Amino acid sequence: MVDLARSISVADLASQADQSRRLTLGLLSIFAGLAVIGSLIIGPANVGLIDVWNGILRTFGLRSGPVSGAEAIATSIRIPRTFLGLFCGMALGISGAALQGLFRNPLVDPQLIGVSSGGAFGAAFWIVFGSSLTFIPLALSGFMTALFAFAGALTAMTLVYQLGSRRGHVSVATMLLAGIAMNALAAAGLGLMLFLGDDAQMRAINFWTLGSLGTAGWAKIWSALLIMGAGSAWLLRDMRALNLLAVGEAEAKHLGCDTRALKRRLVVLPALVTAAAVSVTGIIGFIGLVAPHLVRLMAGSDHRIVMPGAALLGAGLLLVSDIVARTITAPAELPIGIVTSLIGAPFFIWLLSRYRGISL
Amino acid sequence: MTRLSRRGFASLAVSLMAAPLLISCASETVEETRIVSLGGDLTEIVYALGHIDDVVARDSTSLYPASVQDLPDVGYVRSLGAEPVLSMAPSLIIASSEAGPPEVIDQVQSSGVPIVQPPEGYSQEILEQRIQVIGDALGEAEQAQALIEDIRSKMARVATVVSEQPEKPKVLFLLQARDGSPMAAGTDTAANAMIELAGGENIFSTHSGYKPFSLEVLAEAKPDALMLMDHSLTAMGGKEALKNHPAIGLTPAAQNGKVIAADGLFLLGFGPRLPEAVAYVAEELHGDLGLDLASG
Repeated sequence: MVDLARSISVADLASQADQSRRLTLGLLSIFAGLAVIGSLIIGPANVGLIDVWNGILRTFGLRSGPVSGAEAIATSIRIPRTFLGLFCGMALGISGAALQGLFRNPLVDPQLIGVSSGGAFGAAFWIVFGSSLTFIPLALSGFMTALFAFAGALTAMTLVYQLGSRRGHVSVATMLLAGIAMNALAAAGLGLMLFLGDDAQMRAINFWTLGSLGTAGWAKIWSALLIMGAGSAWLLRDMRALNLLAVGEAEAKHLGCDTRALKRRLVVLPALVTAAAVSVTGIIGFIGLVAPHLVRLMAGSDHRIVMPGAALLGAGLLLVSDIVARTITAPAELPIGIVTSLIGAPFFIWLLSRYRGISL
Repeated sequence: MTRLSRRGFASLAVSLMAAPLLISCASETVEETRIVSLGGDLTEIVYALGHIDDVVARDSTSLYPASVQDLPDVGYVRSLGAEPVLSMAPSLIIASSEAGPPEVIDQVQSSGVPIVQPPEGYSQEILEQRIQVIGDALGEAEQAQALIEDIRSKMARVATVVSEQPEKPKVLFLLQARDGSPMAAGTDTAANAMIELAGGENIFSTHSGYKPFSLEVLAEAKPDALMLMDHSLTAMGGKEALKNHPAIGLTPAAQNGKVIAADGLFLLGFGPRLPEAVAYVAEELHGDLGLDLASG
């Protein structure tokens, strides 16, 4: 009798949780969807709904013929930019959720393990020293900064990973410390590049430290979109395993989880997608930190909600920030990192003071 | 108080360091002029006044005439150190008003070496004042006056021809357009002044200084010409890359190949080659004007 009653209430609870999960993810999907639509139709240039629609058709090969004016702006600037914002926001949000789950520390975000600043240093290095190299073919030179940013981010990740692991065994505390050291090193390198660079180079480096979604055109972004999309999807598969890990590493192992492989994936994949994001947008702060937190405050710490939720919320937040960045000072553009931090930080402080009692 | 005493200490330290240098310099020859020239445009003025052989050191922006590139480089004009400058044992320092940091200029000043800082700005008037100031410092007032007259007559000729042009082509100056939104020149920049002198219209007139410019607005505003420093154009991948750029490629400027690229110091230096630079840009914008001054 008693057992039966208990099992019923557990089933009730489970279905309740399921319902709240669906509700939360539904709301976040609506928010992300609205942000995508907003990003497509709001901007400093006069682009009408019909131009956007025709641009979308054209992007997917359903419309051909000569293109001009507003439709061309929608096709070659606004639509790729919206895709870039969507994928970057998703990748940053989900990376933040995965890293916070792995380190069991709510303060972690992709920036903390040094990937972003490593990428910015790589880009700055190329900006200061690369332009003097004349043997680079002209066709390649436009992509070199992004390549160096990606290489810098991956180098930083490899170093941090090597320092933080022994024979494939990830030590969380050591890796955090290694990340802090990597950040300090990259900051020193960036400072050196700023010292060595001239005015124009300093301004170019600025872009990498403050971020922008202005890197238009599919040619420059498609490979980054591919990495971010695939990496994020792969990370989503680990949301159940992250729930086990939250109970404790030993417990997770007893429950049949290969924690070594899991931990390796949870470091490498977020670093990889963040490196891809940084290589096309520069450092965009706060999304990876704030998005998972907000989802946890809305719906608790079940990773089956936090991971996809952080992806949706990250995308929405980044797209809204970009709308602000490109319209508020038009025709000039504010670096988006300023917007995300300016909106994100005070909001985060308010949340912290309001929910001080809730453990994360 | 602390700041004052720190500065006092710094200048004391510098003068102690510089003292032996000054003495050794004085004991060699009293009359020898040793100029340290800090600012590419100022070095050009020194050259135009016939004193380039007196220059013993330069900053990294002094690149014209090519012969000065063989001289020791004391660093970037905005981030100088007092010691490298004073170690050249200068008898005269000609420094841009942008030279800095200010603490370093204070230290150099307190070492007792005469330092001349001509006014900075992007106009013919300021250029004339700068030539005047440097001419006086070099004891070449007459030469300076002749140079000013020459520039005045050339500029007047260019201005007359430019004012006769029926159209004011729309121009955008790009500092860089490789990554993210392109960095363009707003008002209060050398590029803006150059566009106006050459009879063009800057499409980025809402903001001052160099700012990231919206790609959408860039495509929508349809500039007739783009202007860049030639090394930025190379870094972007040349004119062909501009044509293939998703936003810049939509502009008439890129489609018609109307891309004005020249050496940064020539184009934006506002030095003694200003009439030639204006004539060059004007002829690129309006077609051949028969000015016959241009030497890019």
